[in-house]
Amino acid sequence: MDLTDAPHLADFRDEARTWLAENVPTEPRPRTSGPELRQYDEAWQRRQYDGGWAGISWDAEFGGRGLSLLEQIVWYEELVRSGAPESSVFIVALAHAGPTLMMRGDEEQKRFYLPRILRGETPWCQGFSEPESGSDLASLRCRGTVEGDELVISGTKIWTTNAEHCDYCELLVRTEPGSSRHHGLSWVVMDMHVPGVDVRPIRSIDGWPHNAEVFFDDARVPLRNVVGGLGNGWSVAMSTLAAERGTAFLDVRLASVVFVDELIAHARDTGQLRDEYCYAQLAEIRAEAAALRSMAYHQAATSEAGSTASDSVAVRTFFVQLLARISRVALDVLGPEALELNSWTRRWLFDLSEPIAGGTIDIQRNIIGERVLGLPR
Amino acid sequence: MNLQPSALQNEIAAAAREWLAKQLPLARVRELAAGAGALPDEATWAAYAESGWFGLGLDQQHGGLGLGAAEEAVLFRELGRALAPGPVLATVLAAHTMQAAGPAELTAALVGGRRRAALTTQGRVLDGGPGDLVLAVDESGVTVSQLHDCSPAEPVDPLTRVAHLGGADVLLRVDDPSVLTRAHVLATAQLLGIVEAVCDISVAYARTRTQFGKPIGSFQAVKHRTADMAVTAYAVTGQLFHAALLLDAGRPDAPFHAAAAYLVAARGATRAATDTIQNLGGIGFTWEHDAHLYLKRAHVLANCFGPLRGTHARIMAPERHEFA
Repeated sequence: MDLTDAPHLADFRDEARTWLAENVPTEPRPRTSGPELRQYDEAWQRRQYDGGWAGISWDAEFGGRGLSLLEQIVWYEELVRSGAPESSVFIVALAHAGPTLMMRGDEEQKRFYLPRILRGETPWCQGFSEPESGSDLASLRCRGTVEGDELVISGTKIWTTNAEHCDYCELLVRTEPGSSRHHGLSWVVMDMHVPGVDVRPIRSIDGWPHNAEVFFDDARVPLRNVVGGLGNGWSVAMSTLAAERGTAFLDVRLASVVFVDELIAHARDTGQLRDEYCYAQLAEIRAEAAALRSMAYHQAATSEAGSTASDSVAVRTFFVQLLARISRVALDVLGPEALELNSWTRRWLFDLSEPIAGGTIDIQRNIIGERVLGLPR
Repeated sequence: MNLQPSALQNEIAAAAREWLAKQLPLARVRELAAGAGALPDEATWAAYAESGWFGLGLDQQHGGLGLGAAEEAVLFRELGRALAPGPVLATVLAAHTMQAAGPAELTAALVGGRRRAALTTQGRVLDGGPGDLVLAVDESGVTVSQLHDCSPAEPVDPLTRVAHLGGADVLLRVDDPSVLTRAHVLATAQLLGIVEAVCDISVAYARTRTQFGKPIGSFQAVKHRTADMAVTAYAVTGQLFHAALLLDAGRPDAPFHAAAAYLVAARGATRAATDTIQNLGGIGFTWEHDAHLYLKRAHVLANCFGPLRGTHARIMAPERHEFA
């Protein structure tokens, strides 16, 4: 993987920077959970699509650009520097559902769902965790009973981010009665608008209802919505998690590099940078943020040659451990603003979810110990 | 620039690793260090030179192989892993400096293993004695002197000689900030080798040592500490080779990335070696076990250019972390 911009990459970067400067929304993302939020995200996603910036590395037949990983990286770099919205109800669709469908969906599924994602029409959510199945995903119990050419879904999912805004849910259910653990599961495209789906938002520690509990009461979905074949849900879900823990979140990693720069600029403006302790702490996290970026690229570079999921677990582990240190420094640098709910303190509170969401970091470190280093279980 | 190791880089690493395992196992290094006189002995130093280690990154007309900082880093990672004794880092830096600005015969003497150069920092000399060159590396360049007097001190690392700087005559001053950048890259590579070595030690012990009827590696506290070593190695690897490639490309952000690599590596190696002593329990506290040697070498590498906070200026220098 070449890291210096070859001439065509430098051109691509210039184009991206120019386009972003002219097209990033000037209005902030709404701080309400009403329909305006989805409309805002739809408009921004559609704008990227119309400008030719959606799905940089997705195949052209699904509406993407079909470019390499390098262009994807350059796009993310420019995106996180541009002041573009950091979040979107399309995150799951773009980062998990899309890549999973590309890997495991049939032609009809790919042709139907993928372009609708890129065009900003259909946000997705993820229905994996359950009240009794957190890090231990394979213990899930939500049922999908085959009746004719339909699946009848019954059970509860939880921590489903943006559920109330989404049209589809990538739902992992137990379709083989009496099966246990990784067997007898199916990955289903669930329509969130059919009867029997009840979404109840959960208020998070920053006051915002990021997640929801979703109740399925005999909700029906066509069997053709199963992706990767009935009973193959675990392996399909693992494709999703590999995408989630891999390059899919490169923009989030890069955003933390930018955040450290913003903290330094803030400390310079407020005079805190002259404080020796603050200066030293900021230098330490800036060095670590640089290492995070390099390791994410290193992982991306090796993933071209056939990456292992363990590399992305290592990147995530370093990332969330760094986030905790960044928060500690940020709160130190902020001064009186640390007492108010603002973008800085909201970020601190939100970042407490990073070592939890997608599998707790404690379990991730077990995975590194056991699968990478071969330590006993 | 490529982040994946090339075939040549893999060859350099394998050759160095094989030679070090055979000729300089830690028992042998301890023996050499216990003796009086220069560390390592003349024969070992000459063998380093024969392996081409001092000239990897030098031009061919100066007896080098014309390779880059990434290839040098690959070698230094193995030197770190093996705790290879002697002032290799300072000698390689001196050879680069002489190639750029010094007399050709001095370059040849350094590359050929007939002269050694030692680092000096804060009035101390590391692995140097009368007759050697000493290098004082700073933000803006390097001062090379001829050492004629120093008084040995008791070293914290038994495998690294420490002396108080006595008299030295300045030979030349080169203003080139990339000297410190290369120094950071090479020290980072050695620190990476140490992280990998102690991680291996922790893993091997945690798999076999049993307490309460099970291997201690099954205890989450031990497992997590050890997993963090693997994560550190991964992070340092990425940043090290990124920095090395930027240095070779002459990029203006190379000093920032190399200083960041060195800081993360120094903190990470010190922690990994400390945690390895904890993983080992009582045996880790003994002189007999090698664990303390990795910690002490990491500690020396973390202080060989002055206190670690000295890296902060380079890390904070850029207005922002540039992506392009």
